[in-house]
Amino acid sequence: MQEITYYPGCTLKTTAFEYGDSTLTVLSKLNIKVNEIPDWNCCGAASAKSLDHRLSILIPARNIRNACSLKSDIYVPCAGCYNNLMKAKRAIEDNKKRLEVEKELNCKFDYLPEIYPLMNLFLKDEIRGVLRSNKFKGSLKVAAYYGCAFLRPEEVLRNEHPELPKSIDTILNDLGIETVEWPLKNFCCGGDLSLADSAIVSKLVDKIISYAKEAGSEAIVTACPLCQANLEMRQNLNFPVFYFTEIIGIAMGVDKDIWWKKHLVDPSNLVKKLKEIKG
Amino acid sequence: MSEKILLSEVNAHTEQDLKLCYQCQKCTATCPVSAFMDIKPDLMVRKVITGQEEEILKSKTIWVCTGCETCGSRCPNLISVGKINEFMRERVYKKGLSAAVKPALDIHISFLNSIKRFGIVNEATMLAEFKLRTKDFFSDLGIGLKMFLKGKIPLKIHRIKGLDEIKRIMR
Repeated sequence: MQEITYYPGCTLKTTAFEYGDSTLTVLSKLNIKVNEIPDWNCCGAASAKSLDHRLSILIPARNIRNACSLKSDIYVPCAGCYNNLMKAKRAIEDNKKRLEVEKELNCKFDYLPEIYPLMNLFLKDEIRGVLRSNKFKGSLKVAAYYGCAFLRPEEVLRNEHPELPKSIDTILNDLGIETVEWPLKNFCCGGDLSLADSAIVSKLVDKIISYAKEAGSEAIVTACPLCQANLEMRQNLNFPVFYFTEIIGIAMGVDKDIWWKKHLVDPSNLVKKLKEIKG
Repeated sequence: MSEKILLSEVNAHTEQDLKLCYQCQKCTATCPVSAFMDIKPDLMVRKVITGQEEEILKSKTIWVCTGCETCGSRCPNLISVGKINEFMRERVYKKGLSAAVKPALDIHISFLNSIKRFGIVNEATMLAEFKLRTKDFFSDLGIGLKMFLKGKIPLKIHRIKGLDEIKRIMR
């Protein structure tokens, strides 16, 4: 049985409950053992880096320290958490900065786990095989949306191409779902500006949704809790926005009604369609 | 003299060299929110180089920037204006100055206070503090209520075990 270290982050238990629950449900079905980082704390989100650079390293670094004893790669579902953890990891990799972190956190980093976005787990050959054997049969076009924090800064993350990301597209294609080509898959949703200036975020979200529709998609599929919340909260078009793990859940027959009830834009019609074309 | 101090501080902190900017303005062209900025991203680089710190600290730009890093990703000289804005936001906060977009500072303070209190973010108390700080109780009331009714803003309080360590780090 494969084991992973898991950093859920705050939102996966609250505002992105359906992402957290669909992730754990799917991983359990795939027989992957999930070990949460012991006594994990918030990653600092956009606030630590905005007000105190020192904290923006130390707060996420505490999670990496707590993960070390588990001795396996960390998978992170939330883009913001992933981004902050990676910045802390790069600081720990730097000899001079590491000494400061070790002093503040009373520890020694002899070993550093790898940190990946949750999508990367579903790009492994054995799991791709499972996805491919659970293909939807019928036509459905969706727009894969990545946002920012899974992609940039490229020199820190070194994971996906910042201009042409493919992970979510690949997962959906493996499931037999067609993904549209569209120019805004890596465009910013407005992020944490949503509460401070919702008018700006509404404009960005309108643009993203209308481009996704224009490209011929019936829904957006994303992996970022803040993107998903903004896309649902700040639109008036009733356009459904899914987490990719929810789609995998339907494909594998382990989806739960409670996921759909948590959405601010009712996705029922499309869920019905997905179930109809399930293999 | 002071202009050189600001430039060297920004260069050192953001680990980049602003002097490499040759004003192609790709940052401004590609920024998703440049339309809402009072100092456009390319001009922000210029203002740091010429040491106009006061004007930068008073700007909306540093708060409107979402930190999406599109500028840094597409700059031919690897300059991220987002990193400059981040540095300048911290400076406004540390100097105790008022922010040109006050709710943006309010949300960050409320967020960090939540981490200090619980080790994780508790949405209900964080949003309550944000509302008290902005004294704007009506924006997003409908959406907030909808999320609450869907159980997305739980009232249950959870504290991490290592809260003392978090408090020590955040002293």
